[in-house]
Amino acid sequence: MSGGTALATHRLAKTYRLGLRMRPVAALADLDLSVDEGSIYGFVGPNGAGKSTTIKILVGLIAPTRGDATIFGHAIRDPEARRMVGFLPENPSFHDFLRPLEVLQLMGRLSGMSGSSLRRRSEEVLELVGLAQARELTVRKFSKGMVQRLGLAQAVMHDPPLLILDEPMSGLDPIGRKDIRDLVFELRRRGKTIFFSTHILGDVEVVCDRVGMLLRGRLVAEGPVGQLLDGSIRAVELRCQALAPDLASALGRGAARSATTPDGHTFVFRDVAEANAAAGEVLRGGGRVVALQPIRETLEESFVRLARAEAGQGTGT
Amino acid sequence: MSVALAIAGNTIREALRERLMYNLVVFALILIAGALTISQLTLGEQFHIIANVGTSSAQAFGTLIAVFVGVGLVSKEIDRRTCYPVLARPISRGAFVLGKYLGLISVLALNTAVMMGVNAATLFAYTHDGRFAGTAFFACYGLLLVQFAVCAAFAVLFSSFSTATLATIFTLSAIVAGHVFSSVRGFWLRSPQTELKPLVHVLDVVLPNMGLLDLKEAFTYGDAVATSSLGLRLLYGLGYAGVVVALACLVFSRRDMR
Repeated sequence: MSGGTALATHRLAKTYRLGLRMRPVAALADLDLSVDEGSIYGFVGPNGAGKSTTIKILVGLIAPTRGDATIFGHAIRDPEARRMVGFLPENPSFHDFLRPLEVLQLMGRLSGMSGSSLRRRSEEVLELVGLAQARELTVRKFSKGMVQRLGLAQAVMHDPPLLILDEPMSGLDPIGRKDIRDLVFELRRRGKTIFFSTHILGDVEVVCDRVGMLLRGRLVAEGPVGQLLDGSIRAVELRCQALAPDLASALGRGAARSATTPDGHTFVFRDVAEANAAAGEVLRGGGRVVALQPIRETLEESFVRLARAEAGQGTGT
Repeated sequence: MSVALAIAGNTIREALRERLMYNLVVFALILIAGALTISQLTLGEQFHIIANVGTSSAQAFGTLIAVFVGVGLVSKEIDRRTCYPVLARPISRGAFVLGKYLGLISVLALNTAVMMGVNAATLFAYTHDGRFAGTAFFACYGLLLVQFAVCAAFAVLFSSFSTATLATIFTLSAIVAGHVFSSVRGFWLRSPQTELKPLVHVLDVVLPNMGLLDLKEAFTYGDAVATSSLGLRLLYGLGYAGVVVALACLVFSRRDMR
């Protein structure tokens, strides 16, 4: 990491006025965030938590009701701030009569690029996102994954130091998600700062350096992924093979959960001591221990824990 | 300006793919060319019929194209969220609206030229003489284009803050009110009744005086068109459209893209 701050918000808030009576609805409340240069920051929360509102404020699509934000020190109202950002909207959409190169060249022109550098860069970016083979197709014929790649391509077109990606993996199949994940890593390797929102927590655990959890417009937790998890061992999983049927049923009775798999048995024990004792019995009974591993809290479980705590505070319980 | 031109270029491509526009242009061309047949029903007034049906068809269909395509160009960008990656770039919202408007005007100019060409061909087929193509003919079509520019400006303004359906209704209402008011403004302004005078003066400024941009009759009946009058009409129309587009830029720059 380069040490500087790529993105910072201070008491950022947005209240929408809805309906004929202009009922106020707070979508975002006093958000304080800081994203280090060169890091990958995951912005997580359920649908309607305020992730997209935050992102839209950062890229100038929505005006905040209160507070301010800076991108590399430039206030977000300043067009210079938007020059330093590449934005991938949620479920991106492009004019379907355009070819990918035409989309990239239009976006490049709008970012102040021109001439041979524009042409060279659009070819380079098309190659980077793996759409070079689809250069002759119009966007109408693109799959969802291809549109997502094109979205990422237009975001990096003007080589911005900060990428803001709104749900970049939403609706993609596992291969598509992996491809986008690989692209994110590649961009980080090239020195980019990446701020992305998602509600798929598994992706965050794999990709992010830091995570911010948003719930009902409020940041309920923020920090490195490891710090947000409570770290304790929840259970221990024992996987074994070549187990005698009577030993398998005896272990099953003592375990919290058990399952028979095509290549053996899996048992989940509440603590390490129980699991160790079971592993000893397997070995003594002539079986093979394939794996003995602790089960720790996942980000998803951590998120649910924090969400419950927040709900408890909200209701005063 | 280069940003607005880049957006205008894309808007031209987008508008040229509108099926609705082609349907309207084809209808207009059928009517303009069909005026030759309709004119057979009269004795001695054939030229007037061809000229009047031709220019009226061009006016009606040109207005519809300006309204429907104009409203669609901005509202579809918002509905389909194609404007998100554009507006997140270092460009002003005003440049975006201006680009959309300039693109639309280019397409309207192309349509007007096509309708004018077919009208000229129909008139030539009847007169076998090109003398009709004088100042009045070109001024009539030039001011029709300015009328379309005013319609397009309203379409862009209303679609910058409301839905496509509402924007269409508002735009058509403003245009119809402009046509109707230009017919009655003289009467109202001269009327001895004083109570409504302030309102009439306000409407006179706010509503577009579409009658001022209408030279159909002058062309049809061969009236002379003074260059100075033409210049003022042009200035009024373009100034009016400019103010409406500036208002659209202002409104759109304050809109949240939710």
